[in-house]
Amino acid sequence: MKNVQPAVLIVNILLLVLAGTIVIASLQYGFRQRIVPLVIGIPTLVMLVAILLSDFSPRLERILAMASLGSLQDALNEDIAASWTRIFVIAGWLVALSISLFVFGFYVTVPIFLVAFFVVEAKTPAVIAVLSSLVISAVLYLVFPYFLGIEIWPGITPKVMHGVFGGGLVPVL
Amino acid sequence: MIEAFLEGLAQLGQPAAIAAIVAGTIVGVLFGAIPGLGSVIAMAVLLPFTFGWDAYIAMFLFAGIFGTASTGGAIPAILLNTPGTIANVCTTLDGHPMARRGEAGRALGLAAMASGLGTFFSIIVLAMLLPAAKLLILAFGSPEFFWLVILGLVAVTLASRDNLVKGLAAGGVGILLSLIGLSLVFGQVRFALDSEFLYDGLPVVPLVVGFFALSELMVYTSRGGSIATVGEGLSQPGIRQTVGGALEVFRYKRVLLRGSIIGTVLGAVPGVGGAVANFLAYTTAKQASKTPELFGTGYPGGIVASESANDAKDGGILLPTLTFGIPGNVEMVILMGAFVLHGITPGRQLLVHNLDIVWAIILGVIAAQILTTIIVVSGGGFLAKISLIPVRYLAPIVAVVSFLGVYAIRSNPWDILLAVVAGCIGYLMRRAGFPLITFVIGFVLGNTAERSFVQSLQVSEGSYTIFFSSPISIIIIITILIFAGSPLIKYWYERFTAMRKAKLASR
Repeated sequence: MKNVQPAVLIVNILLLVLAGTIVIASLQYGFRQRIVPLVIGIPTLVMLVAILLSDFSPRLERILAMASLGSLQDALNEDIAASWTRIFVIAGWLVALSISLFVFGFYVTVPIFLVAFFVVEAKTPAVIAVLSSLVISAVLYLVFPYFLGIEIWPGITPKVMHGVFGGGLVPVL
Repeated sequence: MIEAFLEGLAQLGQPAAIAAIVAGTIVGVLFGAIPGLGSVIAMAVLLPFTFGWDAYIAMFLFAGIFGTASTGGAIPAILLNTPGTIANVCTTLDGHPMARRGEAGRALGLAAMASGLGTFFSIIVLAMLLPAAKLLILAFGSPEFFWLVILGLVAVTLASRDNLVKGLAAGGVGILLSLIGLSLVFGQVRFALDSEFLYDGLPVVPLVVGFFALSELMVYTSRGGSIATVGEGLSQPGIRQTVGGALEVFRYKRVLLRGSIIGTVLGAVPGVGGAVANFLAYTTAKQASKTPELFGTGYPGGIVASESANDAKDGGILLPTLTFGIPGNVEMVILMGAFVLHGITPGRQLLVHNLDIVWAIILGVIAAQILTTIIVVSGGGFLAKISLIPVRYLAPIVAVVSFLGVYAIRSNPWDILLAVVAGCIGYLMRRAGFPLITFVIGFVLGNTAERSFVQSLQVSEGSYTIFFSSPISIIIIITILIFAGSPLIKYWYERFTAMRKAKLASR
């Protein structure tokens, strides 16, 4: 048995679940509606199962590698591999930014996020960070709402300032 | 024909027309260069503002935007490994390794010149083919469309890397996810789990921004430093490097011609567009090359193939739009909206009553492309220096702009969260060796594949022979088989050669 990488396993299972769910759900539809999901889905499932099993079977991996002109393991993009701690930190920033945008809107979140990121990640002095974030935020707001006329999301908090902070209507999921 | 051409040319000389082309070009390059935005948003946002304008001026503005966005998209593709538009994906494969070697200016010069020459080629072909366009378009029915999509997917898989199994599996999942939501073929909602968000299907822009922009941002920010690591003996990006890169295009004449032909032909097929042309041109260039192993390592020919094809599609894509009123892509749908807004009837009537407008658009695209080439070549050195800025300063700005772009399309805040989820999944997929390119292209072309498949069966009353009955289908199928079988053929050939050598050595 090979040394299986958790990321590889997670992605294999995730794709398998996604494809499997659609293939199984397609069975409830008529022939015409389900033919493409089945024609595409079944070979996809077979390939995903083979890839999953190849993580545990070096022999199967060799067979797949022959069809793919290269080891499956070689396809792993080592160039992008970084420590998981750093990846989690950066992913955390992105998740925090997106949730904050959702809750508090762009006008409030963007300057605060930029200052926080510049200070914590870029180790920029606070004054420079604040000035930079204000300039960047101003440019963004000039381009989007004023130049392009795109209204930007004010957040879902109770309305504090119309169109700027709070009072956004969340579309039904 | 000549009178209409001269009328279009005369209109192009007006100060307002020049201003519209300059504005359109700047907007096109900027929107193309911002991942997640692109020409569709720019055209859609500006469309209402052109109401009341002279029709020529409006057409020059739109020609400037759609003719230049994919050239603008090459800038982040090279500097940030993030394609500005989906049609720039293959530019990342060689453009970004060059940027990391400190040759960003050279790569930008190559991209700008290849884009410009690709556009000129396709526009000349368009002008020549306008009278005979009908035959070309009508030759492609539903079965041919279906095979063309499949060819695109196989080509994409081979273009991304040699792992056919993981590439095809990712493409398959992409197609399956594209089937979620309301099917226009059946008028039925499928796989949507009674969700209003999924009623129209998964939105493509948050997925593309998440997969490409956010996953890349995670990679760079976690690694630290700057995007470019200028090696010893390599020059800093500058105007000399960019001009040198632009002139270097002429060393890849065959690649340029092949890319331009592929872009023009595929551009003319509605629904296929620049992305497939980009992938197919890149794969073909790689397979035809004597040094295919250099592709993906920062090889100039890769950029020439990719950029000539994705810009050559501009001429091709105008063919069905201007001749039959069949919009080849979303930009063309908006352009047709602009026709209606300005009292011009799209379709065959356009060639009869408004041929001057047709020429105005053609000349507008040429003028905008010249301007874009000058902007990118002369400003390439400056633009390239973006790659030397530490990523810790760029990353938060890219994140904010990406989220703004994602939100701006549908004004739906859930799209922001979807983009983050896609970014995390995209990173994991990359880490697991699944090419994102095949996933996204499968997602983009999935609906087209299904529509073509079902329409073909409707036409043939259920007979599957329709997929193998036309010469064009047969040619495409043979091409698919050659592409798909090439890894196995190559493997067996190499094995056979090695065994033969071993036998000879043992004697």
